[in-house]
Amino acid sequence: MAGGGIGVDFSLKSLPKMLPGLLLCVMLGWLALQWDEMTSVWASNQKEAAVILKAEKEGKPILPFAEYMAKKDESFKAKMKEFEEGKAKQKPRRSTVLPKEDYEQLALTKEMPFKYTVGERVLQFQLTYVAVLLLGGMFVRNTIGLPKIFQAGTIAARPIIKPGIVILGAFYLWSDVLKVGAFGLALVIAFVMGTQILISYWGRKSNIDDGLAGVMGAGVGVCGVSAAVAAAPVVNAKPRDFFYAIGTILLFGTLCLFTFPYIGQALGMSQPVFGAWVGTAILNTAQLVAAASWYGHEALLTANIINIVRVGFIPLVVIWAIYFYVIKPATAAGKAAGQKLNAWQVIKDKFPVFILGFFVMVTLNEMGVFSTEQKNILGRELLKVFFAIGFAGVGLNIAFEDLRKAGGKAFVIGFTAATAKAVLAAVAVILLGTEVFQVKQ
Amino acid sequence: MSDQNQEWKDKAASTFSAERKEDFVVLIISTITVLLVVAGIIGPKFYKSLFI
Repeated sequence: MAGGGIGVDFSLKSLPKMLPGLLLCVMLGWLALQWDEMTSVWASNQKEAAVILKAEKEGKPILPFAEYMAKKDESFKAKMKEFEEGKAKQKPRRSTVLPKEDYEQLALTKEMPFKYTVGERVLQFQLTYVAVLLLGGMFVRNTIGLPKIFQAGTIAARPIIKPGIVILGAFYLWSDVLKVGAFGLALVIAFVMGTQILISYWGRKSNIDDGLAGVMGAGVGVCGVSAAVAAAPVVNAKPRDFFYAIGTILLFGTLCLFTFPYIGQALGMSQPVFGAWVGTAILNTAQLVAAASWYGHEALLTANIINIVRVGFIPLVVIWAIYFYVIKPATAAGKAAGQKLNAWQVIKDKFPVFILGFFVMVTLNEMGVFSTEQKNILGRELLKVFFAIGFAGVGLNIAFEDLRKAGGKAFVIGFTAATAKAVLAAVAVILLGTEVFQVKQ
Repeated sequence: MSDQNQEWKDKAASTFSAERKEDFVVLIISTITVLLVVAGIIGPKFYKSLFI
């Protein structure tokens, strides 16, 4: 599932049908960003308030607001002077200043304002816009339900994550892409292609239908739903097996999405290591981008490169399926003639072309086209806007009834293989360490 | 079986043709976004203006 969907028909003809749902996602995305901005301001104010309260406890009186402001201003000017004289390398930023009302309340009560504590907790439990949109969307979808008028648009909102993936390219240099990409490639070959090959042989040994094993291997191995769709005709999948496989992929992905950020925290994973883990272990782009964004921007930078490598493997998944399920048995039966593999055609048909946009962005950054400010606008601010709209669509489309479709032998094989892949990938990325997956900013 | 296989083939073909179309839309949106930022039409105040 290269972008969280399986191909949305973006045409003018379908626009009226999509518009209500798209507008709903824009509105929900905007609301979630309001929450994110408000709580992050509270969280940074909490740190400032804690410093003031600590100083007060140590005997320093809380200054009147005008004096507090003047002192902050003075300190900023001094740092600016140092920067202008070349004594400091980085241009100073204005430090957090509490709003007058809050400052005066703090001076009066000598207690932390409640909303600041809320901000700190939100940060601690990672309840950012990503969590709000995914958990909130899932809750709405499975309680009050999603009216039919919004359905087409919320599905169409999911691929709006993809322009975010492309413009994030403004943050990378080719040296980073090649370094992390080389390790990403090793992880993808070992774990992603490895899972598909393992399921193919496991299925054969256990006398499981080629259709079932083929679809599950492609879906669990590489890229969720769209890889499963691509492999289905090659392996003669039966509809029931196909839907079992899709249900398993969705169920596993959803569980990963909501648990991995907390498992990562519990294991003390750094952001780059977490990014490498989700890039390898989670089964589709929308879910892995959501999990990485949930963890932090650095995690997203690493996960994005590994995801680019991974989705680039979709044509190879189909080529493997054609070889293992069509050509190999035909050759074994002495019927090689007529079974030809046109690898170039498969690559041309199935290659996800949007990743070329990412490479163009990296090249433009390497050429110095973007200023630091423009990079931040693209790779932090506008990225959040695209992601917020897309995540609203992802959350509203997590339906328990779809997840319940997981079942049968496919569930056992797929779930076991995907879990084993996730555990082994976690061990591998922890052993490889932060340095290997770090993207310089 | 051959009918079913044809059905899958059609489904896979339509999925990948829709994905290709979706990818081109993504590239167009990304290009417009980058041009707006590089031209300065979307500047540092844009994101902050989204908040109440």
